[in-house]
Amino acid sequence: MIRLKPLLEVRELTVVYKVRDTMKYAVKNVSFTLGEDEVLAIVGESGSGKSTIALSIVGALPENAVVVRGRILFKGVDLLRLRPSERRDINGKEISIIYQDPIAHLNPLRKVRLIFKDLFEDHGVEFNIQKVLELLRKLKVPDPQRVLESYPFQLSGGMAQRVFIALALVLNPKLLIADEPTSALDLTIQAQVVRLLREVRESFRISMIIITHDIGVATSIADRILVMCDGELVEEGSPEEVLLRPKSKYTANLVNSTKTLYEGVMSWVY
Amino acid sequence: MKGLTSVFYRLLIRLILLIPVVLAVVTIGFILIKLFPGDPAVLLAGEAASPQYIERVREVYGLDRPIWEQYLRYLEKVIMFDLGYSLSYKRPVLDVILTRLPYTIILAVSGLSIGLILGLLLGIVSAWYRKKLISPIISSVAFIFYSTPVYVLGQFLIYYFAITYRVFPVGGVVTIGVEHSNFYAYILDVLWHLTLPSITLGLVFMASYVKLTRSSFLEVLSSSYFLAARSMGLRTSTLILKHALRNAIIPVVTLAGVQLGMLIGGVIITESMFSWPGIGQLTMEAVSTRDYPLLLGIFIFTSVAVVVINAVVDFIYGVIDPRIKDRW
Amino acid sequence: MRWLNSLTICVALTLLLGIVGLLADLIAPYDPLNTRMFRGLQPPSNVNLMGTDQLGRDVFSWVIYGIRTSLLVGLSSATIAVAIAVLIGLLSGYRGGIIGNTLMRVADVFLSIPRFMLIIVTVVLLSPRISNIILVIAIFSWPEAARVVRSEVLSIKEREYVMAAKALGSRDLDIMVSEILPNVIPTILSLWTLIIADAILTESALGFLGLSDLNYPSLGVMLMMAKNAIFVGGWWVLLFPSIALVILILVFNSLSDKLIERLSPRLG
Repeated sequence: MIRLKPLLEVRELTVVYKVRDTMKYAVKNVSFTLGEDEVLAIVGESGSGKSTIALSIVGALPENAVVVRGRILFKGVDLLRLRPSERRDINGKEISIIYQDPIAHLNPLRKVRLIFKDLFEDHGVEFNIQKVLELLRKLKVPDPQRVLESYPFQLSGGMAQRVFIALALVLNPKLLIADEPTSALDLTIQAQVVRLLREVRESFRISMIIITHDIGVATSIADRILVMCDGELVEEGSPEEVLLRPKSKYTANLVNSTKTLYEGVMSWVY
Repeated sequence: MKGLTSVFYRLLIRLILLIPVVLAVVTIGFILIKLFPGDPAVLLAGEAASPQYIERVREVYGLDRPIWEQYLRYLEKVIMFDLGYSLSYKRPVLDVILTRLPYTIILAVSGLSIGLILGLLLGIVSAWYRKKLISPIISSVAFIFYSTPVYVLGQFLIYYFAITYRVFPVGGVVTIGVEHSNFYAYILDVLWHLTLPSITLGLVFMASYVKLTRSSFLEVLSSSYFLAARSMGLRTSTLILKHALRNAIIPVVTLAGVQLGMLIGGVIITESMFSWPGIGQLTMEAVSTRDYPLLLGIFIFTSVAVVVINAVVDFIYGVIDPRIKDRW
Repeated sequence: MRWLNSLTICVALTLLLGIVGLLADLIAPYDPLNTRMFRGLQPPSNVNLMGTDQLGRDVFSWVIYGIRTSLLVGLSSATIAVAIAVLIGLLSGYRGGIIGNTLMRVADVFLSIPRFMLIIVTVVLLSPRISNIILVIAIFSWPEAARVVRSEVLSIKEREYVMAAKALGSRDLDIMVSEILPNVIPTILSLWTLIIADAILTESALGFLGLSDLNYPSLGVMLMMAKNAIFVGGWWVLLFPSIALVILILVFNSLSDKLIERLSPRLG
């Protein structure tokens, strides 16, 4: 398969957390690449370091975290070596991230429309409300006008997640990172969000990194899956390879522990 | 228009709910009168009054009637805003209070504003630069000011700025014996006199605001939505002004509102120190001249004022924070 | 607050102040109430370590006895106030019911009234004797403390071990004493020290306004003298009582913060 120049290249990323007086390795020597229009899922249990990778890419690591080694190359530029202002230019515009629990991640005291406005203006783009409305409609948000005039706490979980996704997509980024996009939601809404993400992928042809502990979610949407355990990358492959022919013992256990196989696997198989 | 009427309606309900509390306060006033040692008629008429006058007072206040009647009469008077007659001023108590009230309000508002502004600024700096040395320094300084009584701080300020370096006047509201050429000169004179007392008050208040602002701001900075906003690549100025400040200020402003209410009755010491002719000083005068009607009138007035102000503040808080709007 | 970092420094200072207060009779060189007009307003010297005030009273002795008065009033009123607050807070928090709620309503009314004015009015009505002062301060301090205790109790009430005890059929009184009370203790101690600081502030404020018990030297009274003394250069009348007072208040405020930090298992 001919691979074009990768969009994102992570090389030997090593991140350490300072807890009290000890240091704990969150991510150990992780390397992978991501091409254009490719969806990557990083799967692992809590504490495996998967979220840390996502946070490192957008520079949102907590204060006690230190990147001790590695490079994150986005379109050839090492993100870790950029100045904060340069990073800010990229965040939101070229690389976006959506987090778990959408309502908690939206400023409760700021109207949705104004949050969009901030996003546009701070990136030097004129505020185009039509584009926002169109995007919301595309994301199946009923009555987008009213949603724009609401405060985040007035929205339901699924609605807030769509708003969040809209915020992430409105400036046409090349890469969308979703950190546990389904974890805080009800089961039925989870399925909706997974479907939504798939549609986003189809419509916008953007690259995505989905961080999740749910293998079912990963297999239903990703082209490739990375499995993390204790900060190390233990497996890499297509959904079929990971599910049916796992190379590592950990992955095998992980797959076996998953009691229910989601619609994703079924839809892939059939 | 619909929003406006609902707002009015809610305020009305709030004020109506106040009535039991106000009633309780007024009743406490009544109980206090009853607790005075000695003959209440004598207290109300003044110790130097003639026996006939005392008898008349007894009649007017119905002091020989059963308690229920007395209580009702008392309530009647209070509702009609009749708080009695001041012995030392020879004028209705309410009159006296209202004349002095503006001064206390000016002092309270300036002191609180200075404290609020300083507190907010220092609190934000202390939170934003929490890793640098300046943060614990600010916290320690604020703590020391917090533990310093107003009459200690004020006296030091007087000593340095009014006596040693004659920058500000020692007290009073205007320079005595000076004819002011125009209104502006008058205002300036008052402001000059206002400086030291309001700075004193401000410094004492600043301390509690610094602490609250700092913790509130820190909470906002470590919140999920702030993280998400940062991840969106928003500029620092936008982050602070539009996403952090508004959220962090709310508890601080609430505190300020509550304190404003308390201040109306509480600047007694500051006013004494700086001979500021407000309600606080009036209280001390009433104490020294044993003017009990005045004292009681002040008590009732300020208590009711505090209760009302607290309710209004509560209400305004509900208007500002959209999350609470739906509560009623 | 960082440099008063150690809990031990605070406790040590408190003990030191306590010793000064207890041994006042031994430490103070002169009878503080003794006025000697011809030695009025003397600057600090070998004879009077901290100088004298306008009435010739030795400032050093006054400060020593002032510390004792402050501690006396502070500790007494705080203890009374906390005792009442714990009782009412526990009852209304755990049992609730008509009594509990009415009591809290009463507390709320107290809280709405400008406290200091009320204290002044009451002290003026009853005579300014030390026992009255202690009582008045205690009466106007318990409502706020009771509220805090009550909300603590309310949150502890929902914890598992309390539920367990209830399920096992323990009597309410037993539960209150053995399950809830121990967990409220950090809060109670912190409140206690906070009220002490506040009571000291109030007591000296009363002194400053001339409303204190004349037999018990108050730091506030000396500060009242300072009001006039500083006009004629008597800086020592202002400085020394001020330092003593600020240290007293600061120490108890710090203790209050530290106690919450160190003893509360959930926070920190």
